[in-house]
Amino acid sequence: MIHRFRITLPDRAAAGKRFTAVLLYSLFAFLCWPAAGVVSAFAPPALSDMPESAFIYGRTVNLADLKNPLDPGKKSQHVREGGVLYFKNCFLCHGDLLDGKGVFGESFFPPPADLAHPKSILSKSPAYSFWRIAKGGPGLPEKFAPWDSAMPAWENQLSEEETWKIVTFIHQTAADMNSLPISAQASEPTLEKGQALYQEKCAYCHGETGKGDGPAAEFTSPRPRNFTKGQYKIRTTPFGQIPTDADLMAMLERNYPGTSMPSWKHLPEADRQSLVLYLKSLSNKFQKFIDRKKSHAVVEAPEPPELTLETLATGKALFQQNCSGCHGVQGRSDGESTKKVVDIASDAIWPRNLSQPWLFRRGDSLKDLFLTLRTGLSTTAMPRFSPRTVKDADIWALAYYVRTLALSEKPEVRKTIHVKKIEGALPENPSDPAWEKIDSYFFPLGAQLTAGEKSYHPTVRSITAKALHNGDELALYLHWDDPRVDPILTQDAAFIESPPPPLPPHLRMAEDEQEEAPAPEAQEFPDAVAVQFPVSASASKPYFLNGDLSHPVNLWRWSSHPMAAEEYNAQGLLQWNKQSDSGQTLSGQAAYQYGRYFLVMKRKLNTGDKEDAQFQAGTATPIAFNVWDGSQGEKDTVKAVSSWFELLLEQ
Amino acid sequence: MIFQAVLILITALFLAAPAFSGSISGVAVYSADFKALPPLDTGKYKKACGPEIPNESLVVNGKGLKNVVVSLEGGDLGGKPGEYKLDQKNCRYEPHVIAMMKGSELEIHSSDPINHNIHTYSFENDPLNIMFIPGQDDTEHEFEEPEIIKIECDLHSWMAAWVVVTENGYFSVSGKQGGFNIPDVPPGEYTVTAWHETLGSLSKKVTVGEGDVKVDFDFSNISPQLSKK
Repeated sequence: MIHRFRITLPDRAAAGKRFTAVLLYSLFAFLCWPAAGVVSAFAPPALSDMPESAFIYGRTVNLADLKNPLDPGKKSQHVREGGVLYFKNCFLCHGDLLDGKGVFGESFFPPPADLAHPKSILSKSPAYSFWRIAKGGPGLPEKFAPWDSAMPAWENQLSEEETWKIVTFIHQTAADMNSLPISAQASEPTLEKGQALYQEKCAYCHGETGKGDGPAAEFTSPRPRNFTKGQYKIRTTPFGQIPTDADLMAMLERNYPGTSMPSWKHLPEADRQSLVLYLKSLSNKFQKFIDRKKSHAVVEAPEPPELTLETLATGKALFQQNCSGCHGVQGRSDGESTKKVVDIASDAIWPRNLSQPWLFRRGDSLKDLFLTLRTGLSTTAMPRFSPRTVKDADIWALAYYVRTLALSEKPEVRKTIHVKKIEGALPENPSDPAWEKIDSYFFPLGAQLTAGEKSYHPTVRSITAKALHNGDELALYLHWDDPRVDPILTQDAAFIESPPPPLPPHLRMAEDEQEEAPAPEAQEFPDAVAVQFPVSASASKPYFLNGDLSHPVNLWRWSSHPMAAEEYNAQGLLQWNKQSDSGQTLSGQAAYQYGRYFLVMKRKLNTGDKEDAQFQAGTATPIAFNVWDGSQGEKDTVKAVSSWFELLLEQ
Repeated sequence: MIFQAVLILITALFLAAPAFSGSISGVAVYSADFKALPPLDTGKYKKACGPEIPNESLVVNGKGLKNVVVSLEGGDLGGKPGEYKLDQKNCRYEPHVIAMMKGSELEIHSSDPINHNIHTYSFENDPLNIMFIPGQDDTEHEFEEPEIIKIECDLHSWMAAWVVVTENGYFSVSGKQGGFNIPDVPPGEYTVTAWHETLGSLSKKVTVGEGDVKVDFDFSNISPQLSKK
């Protein structure tokens, strides 16, 4: 039984309480189902919405009578094999815990299904799950907007047997997650229990022997921790040293936003303690620590001092001197040293983008920042700042300053970009102050996991848009964080990277003492962005991934080299065509500042070209985004993608 | 009385034991057609670091190969951990290669007026990653397990040094002319390994009996590789 929740209870009274808790949870969950998001309230198809039959795997399958054809005698084997397939193909969206909260759980609309919910697959049938997996979003009935769903049609990528194994796995796992404890048993943490739990829950990513090489590992970034080295990223002990038991317990409870590691807080405490025992047995460092009678030098965060203006000034100076080398002067990870320390292929990941605190692994409180600064992040380039060098007051100053680089919270995703109408010329330069007064809209981006070469972990995870029109033209302003500018652009003053940390005045080289830098060369693949619209307005939208044969899309694509904003048409991920020169009426102006691209693209609302999207005040036009980080090899189908949103021009 | 006599005899044997030991010495040689590597450019840091830094990844004098770590395996070799020093001076690590027995301590100092971030990606040993700010106290770090560790500075890409942690106290680092010498090796059969950061490893079997053993290592047929971590 893989992924079975072990709920162990000491007595009947507790079992009764647990039962009540489960009832209350079910009631609460029922009331919230389906979750009414800001963007779209999506009700997945009911069992009654499933067609009688469907053309699946090259033949007509009678879904009403369909049973799982796999040998029930080999069920436990199929659950295991289905689990491996799930972790190779499904968990980036549906999550480690089947709750729809994978790395890309908040990237798509409708969101990935919460398969563990009692009203999800458990209230339906294995045939329903088989149908949904095989046909995916594109196979949804028309009223469920098949063009919106990011669920691929897996019949194109998995064999029929593999699909059934996944069905077996998710039904069994969801059932286990919703089952009441069978019996109450004493629960002392033991190494054996820890080992069993580890093999059930952790081995898919961290590997059977703890080397971080489970079947899901190759699809993740950051990679799963290798436990055999005893090195843990987040601890209260100094950099490189083993964590305390409390650190390991905190690790199991913490969420790791932006990674595929979920929180295990829902496990009984004794189970988490058992896991800690087992994790410690995977590296000889823990035993050596005992043998050598060592003790932990635990770092504790005291209470932060009051914030003053001097604190921020000190923090800023310290940040430029000690942090901007990697994190960049605005905290958007474009520092000079990233050229040395970042190598995604070897899991040397980007320094944290400090403007997105919702992705801080430890958390974004002042005390969290204090601990990270004092202890560093083992296995990464983030050093520790020792108390012998940097006094507490300066660490607090840094922590306060880092918070000024960030938005206070993750922006809400709103479905409709309201486009204000102004008189006269539209601002074409992204640095035009007119843009500062315009409402901005934040859109998450996710991986392209459907066709062609996939992008399991694209660099750019969100984009911000604003728009204006004047009755004749539409100007669309975008910005997105890309930690490395295409070097070919840096000769232009509008493209500014973070400089290396400042040197003391007497060690600085005067302008005339510096050698002329060699002319920069373009990246192999350009950085690029594309804004997508349907070519023609109709009730059924094109598929969100660049349309399909019967529903073409029009794309406004800007690329860093050759630097140009150009119009394309596409009929699917792989069928892109640039419009002829005579069809090109788009203009674009771009800039880059300290880890962020800025772009304004402008076009006439109506071009009379039948390959172009035409805009009308008062009518909503669907809009979606694609972003490529060329420096990381992203090109063609390897890109970050968004769901459909809409653009509404004011009358 | 007989018991005491035996005890004295045994003690005498032990005291006499070093008389049977020998040294292992020789030269590390690189005679392939080779032009000295150009110095590394310090770019914007010319005033802070000096105009250029010698490239020490392959240093040859005549035919002598510098910075080869020669170590022994086999028998029951012991030794005593020691204390070593590493300085960050003119944006260069001094010395460039340190060999030490496991359990030894490294005292890390910075003489420079600018930040350095000393960073190791060691696995067997606790990794290091500390920001050195001008004037800060030295840091000590114990290396507990045998491992070849590259030390780098994340702020100055050309900075590199190597710490070779050995199983026992029998090792030597070749000098300017490529010469090395491991003294007082007890009699026995050993594998001698010579490691160079760019050229890799060569091994030979030797037997130490009475007297000194000569063993040379010729790296000439190995093409230089990029240093690996």
